[in-house]
Amino acid sequence: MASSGIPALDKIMADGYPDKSAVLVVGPPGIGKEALGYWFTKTGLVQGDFCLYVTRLSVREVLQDVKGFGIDMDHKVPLWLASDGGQIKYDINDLAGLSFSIKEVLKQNAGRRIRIVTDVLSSLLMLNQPETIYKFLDQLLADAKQYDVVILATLEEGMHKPEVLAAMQQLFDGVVELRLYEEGLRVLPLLRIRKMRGVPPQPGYYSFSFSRTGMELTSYVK
Amino acid sequence: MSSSIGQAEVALTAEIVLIIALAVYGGYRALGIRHALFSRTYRNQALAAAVASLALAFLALTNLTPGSYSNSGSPTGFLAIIGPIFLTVTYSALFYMVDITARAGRFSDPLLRDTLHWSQVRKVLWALNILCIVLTFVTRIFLLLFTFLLPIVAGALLFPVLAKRTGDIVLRRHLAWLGAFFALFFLSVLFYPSVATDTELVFDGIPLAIGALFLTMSARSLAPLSRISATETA
Repeated sequence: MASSGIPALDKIMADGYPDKSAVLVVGPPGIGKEALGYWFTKTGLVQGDFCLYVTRLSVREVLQDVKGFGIDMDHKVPLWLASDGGQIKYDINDLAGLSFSIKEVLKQNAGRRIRIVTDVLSSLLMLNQPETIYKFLDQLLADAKQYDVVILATLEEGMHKPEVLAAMQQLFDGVVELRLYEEGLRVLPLLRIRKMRGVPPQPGYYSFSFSRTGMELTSYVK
Repeated sequence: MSSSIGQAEVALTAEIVLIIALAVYGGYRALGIRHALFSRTYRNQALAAAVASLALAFLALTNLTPGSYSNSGSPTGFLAIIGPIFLTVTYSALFYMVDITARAGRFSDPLLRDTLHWSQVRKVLWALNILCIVLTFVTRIFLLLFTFLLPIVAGALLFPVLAKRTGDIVLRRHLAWLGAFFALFFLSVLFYPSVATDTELVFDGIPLAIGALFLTMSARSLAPLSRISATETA
């Protein structure tokens, strides 16, 4: 298992994300999906795993956001595949180039535990036909799983049709859902594990918040 | 005559209460959403909506209070002193809202385009805005010509482009409500009566009241909110 970097989340997923898996984090903008990726990356770096961060943003923008969550990533940093400031340049219009770059990194680090975090899925889905992205992702995930890899991808809620979201969730081994729920006049951020390979289905919700030490989860009862 | 004046006062008071209730509700909802979000840009966007809502409430309270204008249309007493300050705060809050919405809009654009070079233009506009706020204490012309028009013009130019470029349905809805509010707010200030009797103020307050409703709707549509059934948490 690959620790998520958040003890409370590891606990409800039986010690972390499954080996050789791809996990999708779905939620509205601003709810903190990316923070799951930051903690996952930071823990991987501390444990000596190879970490690749694939982002549509610039490295500077991501690091600013990382700091905003109180996460210190100054000493150890992942390999960046980013639109600006990274070791590898990310071009949103070049699907083949993206696939090639990721596979090259996987090849070069074969034999190590690899962690990949990405926030590019929503952009790719908006700029291409969904079917093109399903095929692209299906192939990429199949190839990646030949290595000791765990992939964490974020997807924006509210930017895609429900059928597109449902199809994307089918492609992944695990789905973590973050949502904002209205309870009277209160608004609560809730998390649930929609599915996770090797973990029994969990219908329950957890209210959550972020702190400098990670994420606090509390079982939610209406 | 005294009866008609009384009716105007009652209508105006009811209008103020309505605007304040709507604005406070909108501000409360925006703060609730802010509390549930964790990313700085989106938290600031919700904060801007809350500040704008509360500024609107104070604006209604100070500028529509019965008997607050002299027969020549000049503000009197409390309003003469504090009116320009609340106007400045409200206009600046609206500009902050436009500014932060432009930044949130960029993140939801799949191509991350910097609409109208906003990341650079905003610095110049904020500097000019602050300068004009200072000059407001010399003459109100700067307040009316720049500080007031700045958010309106910036919003009119930015919102349609942001709505077209964003892939976020929720942000698009937020922009639509916000745009409608800006339009009504603009009309409300544009047709502000030169000689403000209570009856004229009642009519002037109507677009502001509808605008307050639109602002509340825009605050409520800052993020997609779901409802959870008891069986889902059992």
